[in-house]
Amino acid sequence: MMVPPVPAGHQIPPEPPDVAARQLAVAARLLCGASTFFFLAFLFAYIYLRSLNQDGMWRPPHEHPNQAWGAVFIACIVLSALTAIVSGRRMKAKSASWLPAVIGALVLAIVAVIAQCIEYTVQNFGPTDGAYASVFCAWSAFYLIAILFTMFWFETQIATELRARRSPAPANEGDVKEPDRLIAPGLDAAVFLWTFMAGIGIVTYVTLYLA
Amino acid sequence: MSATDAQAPLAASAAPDLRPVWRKLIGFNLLTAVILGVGGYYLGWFIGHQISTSSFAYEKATDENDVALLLAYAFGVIGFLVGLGFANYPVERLLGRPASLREKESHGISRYFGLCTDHKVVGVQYLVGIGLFLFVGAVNAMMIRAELLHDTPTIVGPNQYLTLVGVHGTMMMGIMTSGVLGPFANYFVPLMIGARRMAFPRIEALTFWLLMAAGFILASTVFFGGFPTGWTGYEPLNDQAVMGMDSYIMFFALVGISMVLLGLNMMATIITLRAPGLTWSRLPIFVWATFATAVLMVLAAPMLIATLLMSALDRSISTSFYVTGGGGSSYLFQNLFWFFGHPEVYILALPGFGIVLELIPVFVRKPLWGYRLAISGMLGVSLMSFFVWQHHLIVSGINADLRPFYMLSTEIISVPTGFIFICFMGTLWRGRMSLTVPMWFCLAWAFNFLIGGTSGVVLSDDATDTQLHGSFFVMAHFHYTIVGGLIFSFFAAIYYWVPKMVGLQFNEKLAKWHFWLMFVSFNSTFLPLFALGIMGMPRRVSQYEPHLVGLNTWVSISAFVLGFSMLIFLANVVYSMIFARIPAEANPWNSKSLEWQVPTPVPVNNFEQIPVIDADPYDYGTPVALGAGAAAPAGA
Repeated sequence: MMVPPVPAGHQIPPEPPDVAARQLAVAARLLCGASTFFFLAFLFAYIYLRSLNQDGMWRPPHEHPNQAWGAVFIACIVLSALTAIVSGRRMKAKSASWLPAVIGALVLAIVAVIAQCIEYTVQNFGPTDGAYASVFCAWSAFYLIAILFTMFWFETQIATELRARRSPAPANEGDVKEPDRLIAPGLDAAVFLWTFMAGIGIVTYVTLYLA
Repeated sequence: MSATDAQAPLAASAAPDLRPVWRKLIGFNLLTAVILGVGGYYLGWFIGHQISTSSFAYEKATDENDVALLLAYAFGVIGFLVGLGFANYPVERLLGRPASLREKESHGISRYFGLCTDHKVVGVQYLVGIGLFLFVGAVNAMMIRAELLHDTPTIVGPNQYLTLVGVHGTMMMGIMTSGVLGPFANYFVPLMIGARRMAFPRIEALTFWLLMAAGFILASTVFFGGFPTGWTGYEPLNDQAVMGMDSYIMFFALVGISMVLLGLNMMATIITLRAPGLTWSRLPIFVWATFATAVLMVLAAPMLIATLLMSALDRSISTSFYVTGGGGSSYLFQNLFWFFGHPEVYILALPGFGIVLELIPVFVRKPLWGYRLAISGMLGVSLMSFFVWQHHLIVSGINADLRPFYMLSTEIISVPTGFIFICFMGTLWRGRMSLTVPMWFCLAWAFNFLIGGTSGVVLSDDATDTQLHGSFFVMAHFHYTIVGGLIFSFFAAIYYWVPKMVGLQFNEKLAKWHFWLMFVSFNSTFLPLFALGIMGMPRRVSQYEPHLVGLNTWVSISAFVLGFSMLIFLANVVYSMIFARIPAEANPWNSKSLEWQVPTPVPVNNFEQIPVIDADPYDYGTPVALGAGAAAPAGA
């Protein structure tokens, strides 16, 4: 066997949670970098196709995103990010009230997703109606997926905290010592990512709705 | 399985598994993955047909249902991953179970056929998996050269020829993005930095299985008519192609996701898991090369994913990113693709630099010359690779005012690349060289990459590029950089590190035969391509001028010898690993780097105690080996 099997009674000692905490912080920042370049492709497409305006097909005159739903969308995103920041600060201050705040952030983000989905049904163009419509639909749809991914991260922190309050994880079982101590750095990393994603959301809104 | 369940077998692995075979097959394993993958594929296919028949007249009319195929691939991949068990942990976390790191590390031989979080197992998985797809790519190359023995299409038709060229190029460029980081960095970076694991072990396993799924998807293109675009997937050909193009799109998108995750994991590992005392200025140069490559992966690959998603949307639901009639532009694709595509070249080349600079101090018994210069070269190449992409568009018709900038930036990128060569030469200077097989491959790397690099400088010139664009000259150039630079260093790494990975040594005589035959036939194959290119031989066509037959025949015969050299390598693998099975010494090269200080085969836990690093790397000529200091507390 190329990699030897685990011998009888062999126990890999659990490692302190600080290491995984650092990794979460680094991962959140690297994800921000990757997300930036992903959405940069759509921003580039927007600028490139708009400046080219091939056969006058960039954006037919009747095409306008629904400003009301767009405003609801971005307001929810910004409010959610602010609530998440508040939650992170309360967590650092060791206040138990961080949990309602992060639940609020989660709910607001989901409302944003719903608002965007409703907008798709009421706007007067679809993805096949020219270059602007293509950029609008694809960019906003992939942004929604990014929101859902980030909200998944938040949900895991909420669920872990709720479980830990009921029955704390054993300190010396498993491969991370005191795994519940990872909730705080996990939330911190998720808040960092979400704040950054909200920044991308603002750029998305300004580009697609206002520019 | 809960997180604690996942841990339980670690301490209880000695108890024999008495379940009947049929029972062992039920669960999250490769068999389940294949079943769910196939099920997912047909589910996606069915849903795609339901959507498209009611919504898209085009698909209904032409029987070219891109929606169905893309959904089939997507659902198939999801089913495959779920079957392997990749959804278990996210679901557990969703339910609030505590975080854990390890999974299925103690499941005997079955570890190699499923989700396993041991970085050493993943390294071996990568080596075998990548080898499989390299073989497919190489067989395609042989078929291409067989076709080019004649100046008219003989073995395959023009369309099939394009598919052969496309699958060869795409397979090689896509799979080899992880050719070094997959097997060697996954296996050795934790050992080299004194860690017990990668930062995100499940993500590490995920990158491998995504790559495997991608490889099979690309191979399946032959069932859907292939694709005519070569590895670049250019629009508008892309949008006009039959459904086989969707295989290309899905392949590269999955490779892109795998690359982002692999790079992220590598960076997080190197940043957070270095042993005490292993400062940035003490990192082995291979780790630095891995880091520089990972930066490119994290930043460039998302652009590729976005580019291909736009392409998929154009083909499936008729958006207009690249379709001129709808307000799009095929130049947009070229810009976005090459913004990824040029860093991609360095994603391939940088690990090769790292391997060569890591190995030569061992075989000349002196420290790496210009350690900091080499690092600045690698980081410089990484940074500058984002500023050269438009040189690929010069013939397509970019703004004339932009040409000088991209010509100069392309020429300037040869400066940090030159740093690597200076360090290579400086290390060789007055060294006591042992001409082992890995060292031969390193020397060959220098010879080949020098030709590849200098021909690149020639091509960076606008006037020359305009003349030689799309010719065999360009093909010779990038084969000298990718095969000459990466594949030769890849084999150097195989002969150097695989004895550590598997605990067995290669037959040296066969290895030397492999090297010499490969080196001579490689140059005999690709050097004449420069001449063919200058004489006007275009890429991607199987019909050419009759006066080029002689040189093409020479090239084809050389290519077959090159292919034969690979068979010698395979024979060596089979002979050494299955029949001879001569145990490798713990440190056959007398290397001082940390990975060679642990026993062979490497223990489950890598290090009983995390080492404290108190010496610089490559301290040849001094008695202090890297990592020979006192141990730090466990988990530090």
